[in-house]
Amino acid sequence: MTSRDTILARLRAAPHAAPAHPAPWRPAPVDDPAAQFTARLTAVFGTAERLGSPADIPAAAARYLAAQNLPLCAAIAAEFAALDWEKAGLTPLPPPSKASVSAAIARAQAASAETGTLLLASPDPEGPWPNLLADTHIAVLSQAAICASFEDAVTRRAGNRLPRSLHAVTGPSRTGDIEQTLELGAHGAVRLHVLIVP
Amino acid sequence: MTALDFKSRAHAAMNDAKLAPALKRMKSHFQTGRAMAAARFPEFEMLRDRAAAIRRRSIALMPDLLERFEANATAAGMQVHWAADAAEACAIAARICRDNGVRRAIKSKSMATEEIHLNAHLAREGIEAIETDLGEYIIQLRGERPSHIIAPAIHLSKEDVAETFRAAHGDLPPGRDIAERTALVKEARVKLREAFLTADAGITGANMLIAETGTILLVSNEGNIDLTATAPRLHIAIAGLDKIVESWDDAGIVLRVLARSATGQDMSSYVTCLTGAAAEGEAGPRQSHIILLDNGRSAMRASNKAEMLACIRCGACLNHCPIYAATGGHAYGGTYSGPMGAVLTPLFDGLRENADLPNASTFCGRCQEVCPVRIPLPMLLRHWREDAFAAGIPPRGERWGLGLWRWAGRANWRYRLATRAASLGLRLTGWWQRGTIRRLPLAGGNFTATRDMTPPSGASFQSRWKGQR
Repeated sequence: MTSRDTILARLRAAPHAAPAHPAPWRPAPVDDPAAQFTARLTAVFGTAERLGSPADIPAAAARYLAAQNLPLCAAIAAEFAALDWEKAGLTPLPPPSKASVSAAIARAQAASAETGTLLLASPDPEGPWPNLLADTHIAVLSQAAICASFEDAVTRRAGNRLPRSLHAVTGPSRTGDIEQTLELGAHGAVRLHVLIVP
Repeated sequence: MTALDFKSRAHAAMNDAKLAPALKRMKSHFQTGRAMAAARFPEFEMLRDRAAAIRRRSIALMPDLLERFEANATAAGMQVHWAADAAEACAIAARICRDNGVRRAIKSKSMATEEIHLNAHLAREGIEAIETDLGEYIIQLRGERPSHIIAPAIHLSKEDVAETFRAAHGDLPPGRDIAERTALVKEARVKLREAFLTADAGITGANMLIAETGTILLVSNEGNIDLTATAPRLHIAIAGLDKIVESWDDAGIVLRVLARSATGQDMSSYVTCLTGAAAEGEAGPRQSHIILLDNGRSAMRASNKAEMLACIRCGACLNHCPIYAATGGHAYGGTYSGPMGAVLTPLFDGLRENADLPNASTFCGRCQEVCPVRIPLPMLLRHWREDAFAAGIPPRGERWGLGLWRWAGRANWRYRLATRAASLGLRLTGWWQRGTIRRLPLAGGNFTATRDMTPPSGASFQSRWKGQR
């Protein structure tokens, strides 16, 4: 007998009565998911800004970096490469694959208003990996992609096939491992800024 | 280990002047965090009930759900392995590493790998395993075991950590300033980033296994799990059989009570969901494995401690336990500590070797009160006490005393007579020792060793109870 057979046989030898399957739960709908998303994200030290048009992305990103006293350069996902970064004074860095970068700008495919959570899929082989390897993660989020809950966001992003990895990100990286005191930027992004576009 | 080990370790811990402030901080931070998170979420109690039912359903349907998980994970491109015990799990992980030329692996925090001592096994095979959770990294450098299930280095101060980093990071300038926490976190970030980008394999645990899609779900706050599971070319997850849940809806409910109970967060900073292996157009490991670990869990499921398998490893029972708050986690001597550890360690490391653990509780019941999935921890500890008694483990004097008490309690008159005699004895002792009892004989000596006892006065509880009715 393989260990698989042994384990399953041992489990089947001890039958248990199963309680009824509890009903799924979803938060009550809110009038303005983008506002709730922003409020919840802010509570966990992320920030968000609503833009009038996707064309405003470069200027908003440059403004954010400048306000943080950071160099005006960032790795830009291919999708946004054609925007006018030069006019905003932001130097695009080549999107690195599997390499650290000071700042990265890419789309978050879905979000949950309930907890201010972004949902990103498997990293792009062409880079950048904004949620994994950037010090500053600037996410572009369509207002329509803000769902009521984590589960709804997963359903929206996954469709028929789940990507190999789904990354739900709520605020910047943090740790309390030294003296129970919160420090931001353990391994993931030190700063998280979300640009909400129509 | 001897049966006295918890006691002696607990004594040593309580005399450790550095440990007390750390444990005090732990208590206030975690307890306040959970209370505030619960207060701002009106559905918390209702979802605890649902989570409790979900976890018990998972225990009941475990064999079917595991087979469903296996089928869906396999279909998505993941390789599923089954391990009956720690040795088999270690052997499987080592074989996968050998077959793929893995010399260096990065790891995210996993209690299952602590439980099976995976790092030591891999080291013997010439494979270096580097912990990436900050707390785990610190204790790995120090050669210690975790002292708290979600805050492994909770027993250390920032000075301890700085000293550890200076000893371990010899390539960095000795004059650097790492007095503050921020500098320590940054140093670990830089050091470990290097490891993330060069490791051949990533090893993780699992918080949940979702049967309906064959998905592994993990939570963290640092973001190290996301990197561990996506940056290297190979991923190995090790998960206890108990991690299984039926659906994403179930996982969502458990997540909501898990983060609030553990750290007082509404949602863990990172929730990582892994399904299959990376396909064309996706970065990530092309090869992914999961090892489903029994290691005593199927036996526990067949015993009167089956409900312990509902545990979601949040740490709330540790954070609210007066014993843990006094002794810290190392006193428990196992991988797991606190009330849940007192239930689990006799299972993994033997009851005879850990005979004190079921007694490492005041039975105050706070652990059960805060357990997000309502595990009756005091009752499970009582079951271990019964098992220990049946196996003849407690010392003869204790067993004899308990036997005598039972005999007295079985007849009203005998019990009344015994309590009257005891009361009279105590009053006489008090009179003899001038008003307060400074020294008691036999087991009573443990009580009077550290404090005096007030002699009984007035009518007994029994006679007053009788009068009330």
